[in-house]
Amino acid sequence: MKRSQSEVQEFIVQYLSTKLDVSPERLEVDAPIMTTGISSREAVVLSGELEDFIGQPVEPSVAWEYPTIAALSQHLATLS
Amino acid sequence: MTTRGASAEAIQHHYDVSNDFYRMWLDPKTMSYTSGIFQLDDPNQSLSDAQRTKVDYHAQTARAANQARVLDIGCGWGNMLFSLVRDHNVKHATGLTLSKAQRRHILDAGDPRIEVRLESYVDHAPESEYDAIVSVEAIEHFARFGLSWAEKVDIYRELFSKAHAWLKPGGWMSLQMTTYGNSCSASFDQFVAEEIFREADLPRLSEICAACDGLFSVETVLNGREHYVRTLRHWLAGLRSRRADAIATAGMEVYRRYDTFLRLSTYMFESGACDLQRIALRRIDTPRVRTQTLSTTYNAGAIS
Repeated sequence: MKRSQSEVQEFIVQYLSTKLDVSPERLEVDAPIMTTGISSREAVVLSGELEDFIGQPVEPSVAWEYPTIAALSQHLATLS
Repeated sequence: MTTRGASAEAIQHHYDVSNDFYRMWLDPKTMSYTSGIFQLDDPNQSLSDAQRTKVDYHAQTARAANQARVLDIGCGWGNMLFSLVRDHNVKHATGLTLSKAQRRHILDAGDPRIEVRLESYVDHAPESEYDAIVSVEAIEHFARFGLSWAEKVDIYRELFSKAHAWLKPGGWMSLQMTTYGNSCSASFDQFVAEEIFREADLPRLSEICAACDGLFSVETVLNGREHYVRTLRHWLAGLRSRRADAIATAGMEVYRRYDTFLRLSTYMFESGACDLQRIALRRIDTPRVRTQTLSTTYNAGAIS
């Protein structure tokens, strides 16, 4: 299904804020995802959640290939 | 508590989820739950084809064709055993597994040339020697998590000592295994150890080489982690495409556990945290290196 970049971004921010137990406002969209404190496992789980969200296959390593929330959301909006 | 090997309970936790569940996302023809060998420049090659290539590779490497007795340590759902007797003219193929579901699956085929034993390699005591031995992604279960390099070498050496005693002079052994690559046990999330492969730890290539030193000559070592990335992508796509059925069969928790495991594994092979080694070993018929000498050479304190 078609998802806009802002929809995907909101989904990622929500996922990270829940996992990290921080408010969504504290997450910077241009900062590297892997320095937020998320584990490799959680980043890989996120790829699965994103696959469900956009309805298209998402590579497990996507959070490393598109390392910021902004870059990742842009990429996934293109995929969907 | 023994440090050797995953228990039958742990193996059954992983492999006895249900044959139907695995059939949904593994290649249903072979039920092979190990990496295939792909033609990497052909993006359209099927998983079935890659699984067949894998089995043929090990049969050829172990020089199993036309032999009387071949052993498969950790035989899974029997793909290798079936191929040995049907495609490679092996007269009698013996498989070892600790999974009742896997044994049942093989017995259901009713092939008199195949013997499948619910038994660890530790307890295996064949009546006569084997002409060839294969073992595909079983050795990952043989050492418990958290052991030192030297302790793991001791466990693997026991395996190679047994294999040496079981094999005919000049016999070959073909192994396939996931090893630590650019990583160590601390690099991995506990999820993999505790939730998926209970009580197991991956070998390092150096441990395997040290463990067979003087018993087997290492003839070839091939690292093919790209083949596992391709295999895992097939499995993940299969699991996802049968999502509703998989959840109905095994439950949401199991579905999520495997989805995460397949994704993590893909990432680990893609990044080089894990390697996939195929190792061809040839029996040394007159060993001149004794275990005693080996322990001195690999002083437990020198490498840990």
